[in-house]
Amino acid sequence: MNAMHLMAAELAGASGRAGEPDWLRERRGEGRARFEALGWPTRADEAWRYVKMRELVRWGEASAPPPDAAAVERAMARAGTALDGVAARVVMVDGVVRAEATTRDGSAPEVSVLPLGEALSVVGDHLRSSLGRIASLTGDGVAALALAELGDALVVHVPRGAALSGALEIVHVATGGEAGLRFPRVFVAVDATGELTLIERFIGVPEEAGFTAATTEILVGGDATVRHVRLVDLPEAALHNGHVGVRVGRGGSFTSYVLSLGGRLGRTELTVDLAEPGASCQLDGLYVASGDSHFDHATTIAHTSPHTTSGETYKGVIGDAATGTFFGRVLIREGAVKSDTRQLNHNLLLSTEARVHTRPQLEIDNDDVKAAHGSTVGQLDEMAVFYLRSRGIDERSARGLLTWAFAEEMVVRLPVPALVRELGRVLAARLASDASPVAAAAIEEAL
Amino acid sequence: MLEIDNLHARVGDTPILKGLTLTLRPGEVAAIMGPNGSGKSTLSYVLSGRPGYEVTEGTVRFDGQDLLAMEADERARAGVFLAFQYPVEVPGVSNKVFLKAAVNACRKARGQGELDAYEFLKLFEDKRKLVGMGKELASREVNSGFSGGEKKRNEILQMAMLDPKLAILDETDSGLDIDALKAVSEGVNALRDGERAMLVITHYQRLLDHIVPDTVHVLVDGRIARTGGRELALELEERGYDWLKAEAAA
Ligand SMILES: Nc1ncnc2c1ncn2[C@@H]1O[C@H](COP(=O)(O)OP(=O)(O)OP(=O)(O)O)[C@@H](O)[C@H]1O
Ligand SMILES: [Mg+2]
Repeated sequence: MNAMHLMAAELAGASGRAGEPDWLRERRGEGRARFEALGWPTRADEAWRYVKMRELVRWGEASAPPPDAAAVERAMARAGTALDGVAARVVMVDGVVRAEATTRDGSAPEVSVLPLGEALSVVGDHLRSSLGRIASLTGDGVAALALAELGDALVVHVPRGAALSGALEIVHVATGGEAGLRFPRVFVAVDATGELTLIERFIGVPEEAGFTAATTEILVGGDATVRHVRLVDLPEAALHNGHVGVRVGRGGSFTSYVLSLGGRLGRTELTVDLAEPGASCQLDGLYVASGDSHFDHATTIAHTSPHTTSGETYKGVIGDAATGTFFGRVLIREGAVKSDTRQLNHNLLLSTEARVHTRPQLEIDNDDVKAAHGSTVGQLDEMAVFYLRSRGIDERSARGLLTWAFAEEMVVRLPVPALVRELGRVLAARLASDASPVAAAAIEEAL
Repeated sequence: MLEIDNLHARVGDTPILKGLTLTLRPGEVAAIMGPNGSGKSTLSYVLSGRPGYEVTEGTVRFDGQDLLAMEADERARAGVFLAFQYPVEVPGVSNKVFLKAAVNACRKARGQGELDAYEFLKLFEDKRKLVGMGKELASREVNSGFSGGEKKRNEILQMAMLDPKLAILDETDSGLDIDALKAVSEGVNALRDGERAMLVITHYQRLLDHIVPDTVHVLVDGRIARTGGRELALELEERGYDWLKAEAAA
């Protein structure tokens, strides 16, 4: 932090909370200062280029007032129950941990899953060195604002060599409300050789519109393995902007699965720093947009060390008057020799009004690397549609089956089998609908 | 079973069928021969309801119904099957998932009750053996990366599974090696049951040695230029099409 930032932080009067350490109050101040410097993103920012900014700005710059008891109750009713294969589960409403809904099996008690206040004494070092610095202080103005407005957060710590017996699922439920933003935040540190499968699910209350700006920060230690599923399936009117910042240490492996399925606006910005030799990441994504939804994906993979490997595959299915965007940057820094990257984005347009913007981008500062990238935009093969129909399959089902065939590989590679089945069903319903049980049955069969 | 009367059809702005009349009795196997570009595949697409093939005149009745008023998938469920001249690759969809969806859609429409997983697999195995198709091949993605001959065999497997009333085989013999031709013909012959009608489009008399037709029609420039028995195919083999083209032009 430079002096200017410090001063600005003090001027902004970053509010502290009783009993919290000074560094945390200062961290908020850094966020505030950065936000004042950057401001709200504009369409001149590549990653925001296709977003209708006016719609966002009207939500203001402050946190939404806390939901009342009835709103919390409506939210909790949406939270559902744990999937098979989930070892621990936390529900957060508008970014606040609902302790009464936390469940956990007896595995790996040394793994901590705690609200920020309680985590400070347990994971203080990690938090102090990295909180806000992996995502918020490297991201755009919205990410900075999220740090400035930091309230509660969920902190997950997997000590050296530890692993839960199954996945950790975090259900973020957003309430509605016309003013202000919601800033849920998750901080994850997995120490050397530890392992974690994290499912973050962003949902809301039907008919309620709200704007969520979520942050997830993940530290992947040496030879540690982290899988992160980020599923955004919000109600039609809801808006969502997510920042995920990841730092991968020596020999560590990070796999991301981004699923954008519902909401008016769904943005995910994901930045992975392959910071030490041998670090690797695989970023997968699937967006299925219909109505007038707009799903944006901006990913940055920074190869900053030698012998780092990355792969990325995003697929989009865009129907009606929806928009899907993929902006994927891969940076290979000068010292990152013997790095290897492979990036793909494939899109299927289901209607003439559907829009897609795809931009894979490689920036390579050394010539001892292997790099490949590509993107495609296509439509369903009408001859294949006719072929299926000529066997008695109705048109809707034929289109549903072919669309599923396009999307399937992204679903079946999800790391939790119960999630594969759930997503299969969700997509069967969406792609095939009740009007075509044939396709739904076929998808069910394929799982 | 099938009555085509004065059928005119075009693709885009190009008229291709120009007054085609043809009837088929239940159980009848009719061969359709004719020069390249005379409209044989167009006829098969018009009968199976491919979008973009516009009928401008004439009627087609199938089993007493107005075939042209039905959607492609309705026709299939009513019992019309086309073995494509160029079967379509459908990557990402397994042959079994595809066939189960198709078989059950047809069975449901015919009031037969859907097959469960076990019943389906049994039928699938029976028919797979009938057409001499390898187990591994039969389970792959639909036609994806299949050789030309393998695709043709897969068409006959589908026909055997779907049990149509009318089967249109568009050059199912082309691209087949001698053994495959025999196997496919045997498969087709096994499905001749005195009820099922077949339109067998071919360029080669050779196929008609295996699948012996009741009737032979020659299609020239969008019309049936001549109809005869088996011997007509032999005559064409010897004389070619020029004499019929000349007659048609006159
Ligand atoms: N989409 C199209 N637009 C314009 N003309 C077409 C189109 N499709 C087919 N045709 C033309 O229609 C005519 C008949 O084609 P068709 O495929 O029915 O012939 P065919 O008798 O099956 O020939 P072959 O023996 O070579 O298979 C050809 O002249 C062909 O070029
Ligand atoms: Mg043809």
